[in-house]
Amino acid sequence: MTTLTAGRAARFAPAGTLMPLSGLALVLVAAAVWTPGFYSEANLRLVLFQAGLIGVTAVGQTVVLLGRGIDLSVGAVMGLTTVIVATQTDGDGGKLPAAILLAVLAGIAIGAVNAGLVVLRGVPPFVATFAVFVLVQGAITAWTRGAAAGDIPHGLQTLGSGRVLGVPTPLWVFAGVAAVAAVVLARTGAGRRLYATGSNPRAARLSGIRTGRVIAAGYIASALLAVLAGLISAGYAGHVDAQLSRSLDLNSLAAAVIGGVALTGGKGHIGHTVLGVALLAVLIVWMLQLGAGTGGQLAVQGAAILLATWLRQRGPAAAGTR
Amino acid sequence: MTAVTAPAGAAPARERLAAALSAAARTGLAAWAIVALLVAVLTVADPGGFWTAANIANVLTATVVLGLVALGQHLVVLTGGIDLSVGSTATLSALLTAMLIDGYPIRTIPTILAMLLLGAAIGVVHGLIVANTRIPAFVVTLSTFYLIQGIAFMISTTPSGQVTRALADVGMRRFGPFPLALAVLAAAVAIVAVLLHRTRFGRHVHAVGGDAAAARSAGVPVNRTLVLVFVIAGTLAAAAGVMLAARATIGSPNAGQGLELSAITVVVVGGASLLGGRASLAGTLGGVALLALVESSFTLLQLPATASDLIRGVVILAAAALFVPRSHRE
Repeated sequence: MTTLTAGRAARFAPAGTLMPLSGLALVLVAAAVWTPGFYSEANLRLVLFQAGLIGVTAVGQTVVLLGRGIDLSVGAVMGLTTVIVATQTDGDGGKLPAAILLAVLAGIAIGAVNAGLVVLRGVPPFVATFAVFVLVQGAITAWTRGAAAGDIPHGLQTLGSGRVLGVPTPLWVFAGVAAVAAVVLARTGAGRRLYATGSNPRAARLSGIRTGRVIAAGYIASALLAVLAGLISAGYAGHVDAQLSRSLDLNSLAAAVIGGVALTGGKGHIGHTVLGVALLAVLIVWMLQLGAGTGGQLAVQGAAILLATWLRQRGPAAAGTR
Repeated sequence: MTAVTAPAGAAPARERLAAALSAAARTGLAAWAIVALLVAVLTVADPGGFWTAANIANVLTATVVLGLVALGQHLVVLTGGIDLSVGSTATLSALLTAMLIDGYPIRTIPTILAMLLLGAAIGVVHGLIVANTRIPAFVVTLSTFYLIQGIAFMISTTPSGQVTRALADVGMRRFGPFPLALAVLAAAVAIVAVLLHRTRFGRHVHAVGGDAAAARSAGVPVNRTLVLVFVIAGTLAAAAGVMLAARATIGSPNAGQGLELSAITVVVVGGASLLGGRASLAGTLGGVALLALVESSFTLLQLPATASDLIRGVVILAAAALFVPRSHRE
């Protein structure tokens, strides 16, 4: 890690997409060499499913990151959604719409709390959303007395484990969400206001943008997408996954950052996110195939975020003062 | 909470009150005031139970692990950084302590020393990355939070190992209302207090947190200070892990979960600015006492244990909303 990599990073950074793209190619080749069974049909389908699930939350995370924020409460919202659907319906499809409505309201509430803390109180986003994560997780534990139970209605399973044209439904959902987000970010005033707010909040405010509203909308969008991901995950598992609510799900953040969305706000687009999602999904499925448990996956995610941010660093400080 | 919606032309009395309140929060007085209030409430709620030696010992025991981690966090926050990995470090240290000792008395001391070294090594890595790159501390330590927790899970996903009687005694023995483990915390507090207020290093920590660029041009060894601060935080987190293992007598891969946020809460409640340069050690200790009181009162008032996470979340959220001042640096 000396001047060589730093120099390369500096050259690659303007291209932006080159680094995650080469990372993806590297992992795909390594997987092919290491585990010949990687390119089986079932396994590729798993990659596509993972990409769909991670992707939906990663789009939300991207919107928050672009506004100079970070959303660590994504995993808690997903867990809460699963628990709400399971406890409210217990497998009864007729009650599904009401349960989904409840989950959406909960998502909006959580997004609003995040936004309120960040915008109104000036709390650093990672502290605010981490605190919300702990609160929601605590609420789930207290509500279910530590043992969540209940079945997921059959109707939801088409969303989680169904296929359209041979491709898992979650990937279609991700594609739709990503397309909408890409258009909104690149082609609308709302998108331009978000980029302006993220790259220079003060200038944005002075030029008449209501930055508070822009940032708040980002957190609410992220929470709503987390609800959607929670529905997908519930439909896939078919039952409540008590573990899900307990894990601080970092996939969305890892995907966005690996893809090249800047943590400092205002830089990056949905293309980056899609690339990061693909890379992370391949990596996770490969890890599963190598027999790595939760521990290996957590370690890889942590290392990937660190490596990605490190490689993206430019300037003299990154050129290796050691 | 009302200050946000208050009209611009609020009465001067109100402004003076707000100023007094924010001064109280900054000096850590607010934390101790809430502690006093809570003690009063608990005394009224359960007069027979709260002031027993056993319960006081419970409260004080609850301060040890949290206090060790919070002291490290205090230093890191003073420099304007944050260490999200302390919970994972404590977990790894607790798990390894129990697994490496595995019931053999002769291994106790070497294992504890090894754990402290491990914590210091983790701190060196954090410090070097934060000091030499422009990656924010929270990103670095968020990554290692996952990395270290992942390693702990790779070592064991189930509680395992066994500590020796001697170490378990340190975790559990008490003299009247004073647990033996409190001596560990007292020693750590003394060391950190001396470091902060009596040494050049302490002045450097404040200088780096106040304005790193100005400190650098004034000849403060900014990088060395940052590395040292993270080393102390890592070592203290590892020590907290050893205490966790001593108390549980076995090592669990979830032992330190959530400690990082508790530690941040405590420092924030104690009046520290997350922007760096300002934090009160007395306030941080007040925060430790506050959280320890809240946690131990669950058993005292016989509330369901599953609600404790919720209350912790409420306390943390309230602390974030009320104590974190609006940041003007953008």
